[in-house]
Amino acid sequence: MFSQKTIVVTVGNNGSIVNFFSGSSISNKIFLEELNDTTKDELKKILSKNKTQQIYLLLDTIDQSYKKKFYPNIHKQDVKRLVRREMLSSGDHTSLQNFLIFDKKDYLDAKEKSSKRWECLFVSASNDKKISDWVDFLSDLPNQFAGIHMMPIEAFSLCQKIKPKNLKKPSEPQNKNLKLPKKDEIFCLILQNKVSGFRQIVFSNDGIIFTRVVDYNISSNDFNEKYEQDIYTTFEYLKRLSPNSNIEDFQVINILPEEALKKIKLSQNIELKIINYTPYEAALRSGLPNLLPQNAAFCDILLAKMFAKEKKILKFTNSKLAILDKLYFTIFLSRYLNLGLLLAISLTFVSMIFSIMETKNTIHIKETLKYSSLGELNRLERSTIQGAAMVEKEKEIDIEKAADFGRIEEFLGTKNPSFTKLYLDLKVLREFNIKLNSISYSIPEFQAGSPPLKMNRQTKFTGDIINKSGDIESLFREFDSFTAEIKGKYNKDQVRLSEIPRTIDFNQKYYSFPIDFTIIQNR
Amino acid sequence: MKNKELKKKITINYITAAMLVITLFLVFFLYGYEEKVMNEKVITLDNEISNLKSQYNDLQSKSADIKKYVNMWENISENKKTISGIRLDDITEIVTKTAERYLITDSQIKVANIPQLVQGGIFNCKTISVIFTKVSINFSAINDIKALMFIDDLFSRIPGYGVINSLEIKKSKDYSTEDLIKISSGKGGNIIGNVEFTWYAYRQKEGAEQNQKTQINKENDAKKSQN
Repeated sequence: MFSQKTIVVTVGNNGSIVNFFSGSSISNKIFLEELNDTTKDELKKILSKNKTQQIYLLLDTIDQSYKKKFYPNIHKQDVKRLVRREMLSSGDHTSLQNFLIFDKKDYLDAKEKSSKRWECLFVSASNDKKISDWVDFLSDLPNQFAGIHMMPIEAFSLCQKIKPKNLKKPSEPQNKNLKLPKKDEIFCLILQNKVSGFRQIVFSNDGIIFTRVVDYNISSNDFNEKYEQDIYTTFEYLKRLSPNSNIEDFQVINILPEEALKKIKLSQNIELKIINYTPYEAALRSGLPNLLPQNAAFCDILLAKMFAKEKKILKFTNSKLAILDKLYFTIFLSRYLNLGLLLAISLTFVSMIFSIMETKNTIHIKETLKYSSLGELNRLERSTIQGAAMVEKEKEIDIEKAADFGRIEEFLGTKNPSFTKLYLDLKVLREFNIKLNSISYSIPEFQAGSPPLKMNRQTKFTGDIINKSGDIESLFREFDSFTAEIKGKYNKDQVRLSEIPRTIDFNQKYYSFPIDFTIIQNR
Repeated sequence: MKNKELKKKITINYITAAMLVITLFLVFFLYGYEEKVMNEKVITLDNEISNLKSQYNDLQSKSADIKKYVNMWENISENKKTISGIRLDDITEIVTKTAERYLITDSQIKVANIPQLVQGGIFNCKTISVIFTKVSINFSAINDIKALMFIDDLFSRIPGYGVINSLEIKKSKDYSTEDLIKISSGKGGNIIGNVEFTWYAYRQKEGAEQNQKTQINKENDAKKSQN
């Protein structure tokens, strides 16, 4: 599919050449005077070794017609449709036909472009028996028959390669904004082919204008005269097509054998601009130094190679070839589809492998972490539970047992207050001459089955406050002082104190008065 | 002839394309499945690691607790480590002996109900069970301080823990000169007291002892095999 190997069959009136190109050189060439059963078999044998190579048919026949026609300035696609319709309605369905539409010149200004007509070149070649035989033969080969092309049209690539660069340099205008009209350069390529003899091909910068087959005898004495006469005839024909053409813009490029060139160089004509190349020199200039021997006389191989190497200009086809083209195109598409799918599978597979490797690596890291955590846990377990063995009175104590006891001690060991301490804390009662009659302690709402963490402890003291003077004012003072003292002492807890009633008889003496107070602790 | 061959090629190419599409889907499916399985494994590992870390933290906390409880064990009095359960004889003996020490007279002990199991929270112990019953003690004392000291001492001596639900100490009458003489000689008791408390005691958990023995035996066997 990507091979640079190509087979080009050049067919002319004098015979055919099958060129096997490989890279920039030719690996094999076969000249056939005619295509008969014997040559077909021989060719099949040779071609069976090169099944994957594409085959092009390059026609260098005499019977080729080039007609120029102008179309109004409409859209290019419309022009194409119009031309196709004309070709279909022409009634000639046997010959090979196609057309070239030359683009509007870039150097034309907008006004010129808008007024410009489309230039269309109709090309037709008679589909004689010789060509039909070749087309049928090539179509049935296992190789892909890539298309039929006209040698004069495709020779444009060679012309572009060998033409002198910067042939005309218009003088720089003083005002750079002023765009000078640029005239077309015209090249007349004169060459000699083995399959068709001498040929003149006239090119503009856009492509072929027309072609002529000429007949020379190099060894003849009137060669030069005939040669120049043919050039002038060609130029006259050109002037009919393009009246503005000037002989100064007409560049003749010869690719002829050394013998012919020597004679041409003897010419005294100074009007014609002529460049001479031997086929070898032309190949050298085209970047194909190994293609031809130095004494090569014909250009067939050079033209075929340039055609194979460069972009194809115009393809001719018939119904059989069109079907083949569609089938090859479908194969091409399906191959690329398969290639794309293979690529997608490979990429997915590779990305899957990378992803799985990455995840496996993550799993490995996490497993390592897990086992290290497990190890740490086991070590800690051993050091805490198994390592923390306790011996008491030569008897080993279960650490779990110690923990159980410790937790309960923490919880229940602090539930009871120290009553002795509480009593001692209440020395203040003596200072206020209070005599206690009862002490009561309770924990209301205590549930023995599920003891709470915190509980309300109420300790109630009941007694009498002794007022030695019996004076009620002293009683109030003592009472208030005691209240302040108790509340200050148990400021973190709740203290409830009995009060002296407001209805007390102020005229009476009170040497003692009942008193009670409750300390409520939430611990 | 050539057309047939080309059509055959096209058919083969499209069949290949269909197979490649199926392969691509299979690869995608396999990819998705593998990724799912791997991700699940990663999630499981993450959970396991998280669980282990949590266990590690718990154990660290437990380690600190164990250190604390080991230290605490030495300070817990012997009577609080007793696992004999609730026995009336024990409490009677302790009350009698303590009462003698604080000149307490007329002590009467009543056990309110049969022992019950305490469950939930810290009471779900691994090695012991905690049981409780309600006990009431009536007594007479020569003064309030003796009564309170008796209570404090009594509760420091009983096996397990007693949580006082109610306590009442009151003077039964005003003191006469005769009473004061009796009190100074350590006789008589005009202070009457009543204490009601919940007695929490330990009992060996069923199966715990057996397990402990088995473990000790295993450790001994291991030591022997190492030697």
